[in-house]
Amino acid sequence: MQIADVLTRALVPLARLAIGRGLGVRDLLDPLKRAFLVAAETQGVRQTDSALALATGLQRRDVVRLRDMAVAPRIPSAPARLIARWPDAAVLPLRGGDDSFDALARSVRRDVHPRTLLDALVAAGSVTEEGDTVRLVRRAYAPGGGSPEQLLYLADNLHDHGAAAVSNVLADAGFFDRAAHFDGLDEAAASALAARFAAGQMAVLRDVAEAARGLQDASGDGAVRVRFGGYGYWTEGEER
Amino acid sequence: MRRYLTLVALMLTLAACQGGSTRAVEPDGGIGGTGARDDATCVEGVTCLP
Repeated sequence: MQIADVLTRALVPLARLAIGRGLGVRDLLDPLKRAFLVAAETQGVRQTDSALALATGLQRRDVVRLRDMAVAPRIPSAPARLIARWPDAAVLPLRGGDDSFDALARSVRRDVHPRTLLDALVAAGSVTEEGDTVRLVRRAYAPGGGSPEQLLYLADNLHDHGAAAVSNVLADAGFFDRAAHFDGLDEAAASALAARFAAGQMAVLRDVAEAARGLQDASGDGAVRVRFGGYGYWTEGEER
Repeated sequence: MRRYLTLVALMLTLAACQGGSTRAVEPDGGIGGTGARDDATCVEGVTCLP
């Protein structure tokens, strides 16, 4: 496969996202140019307009126009952190002492009202509100409906998965990136495999998250961030 | 002398505040993503959720 074909295949899901959001090719030109500038920066290209133009193939006027247009920083997910700190009990009182949902929410974000966090978690299906209690439904935060929070996860997870694979190709970095892939299955088989994978994957993610939380609480001042993830995808027929 | 020591203490505090943590104001941590919202994740031999 030629590198142009590799890039096209990798870009197909993003093209689908763009079309789904009413964007055309012209709308993607600036984001693509900014991505080249960010990549050049992280690869140690000298930060002059000429060096950046030479390394990226961009016109100098585009470099000048776009180089100071910073990409929005990653925003830590307060709902995800709240779920990670949920105690062993499945049900918490909504209000009250240290073991209440309100106290847990305040420990995560003091500047956001607990009700706001609760609404976000209920909308994502992570918890349910039952009278004066809150019940944990799943130990993950997966916002849906094309919400801004869901798009943030799309960007973060795709970025880090792509970064791991590209680092392996360019620098033999050794990041874990493996997938089990089979065809010739029917829908029922795919669903059964998906459930099996999700259960195993969640067990691993919970184990890693718990260990990471302990290490973060113990020191928590290092400069390294980590992301370990998993995904499953199945579709009918040939898809380019 | 006391005023001098107060000034030194203030400077040391400021230096500690400026040079200390490399972490963002709000720490990151948790499990999340774009899916799956309706996971049927009880599989024999594997822990059920939550």
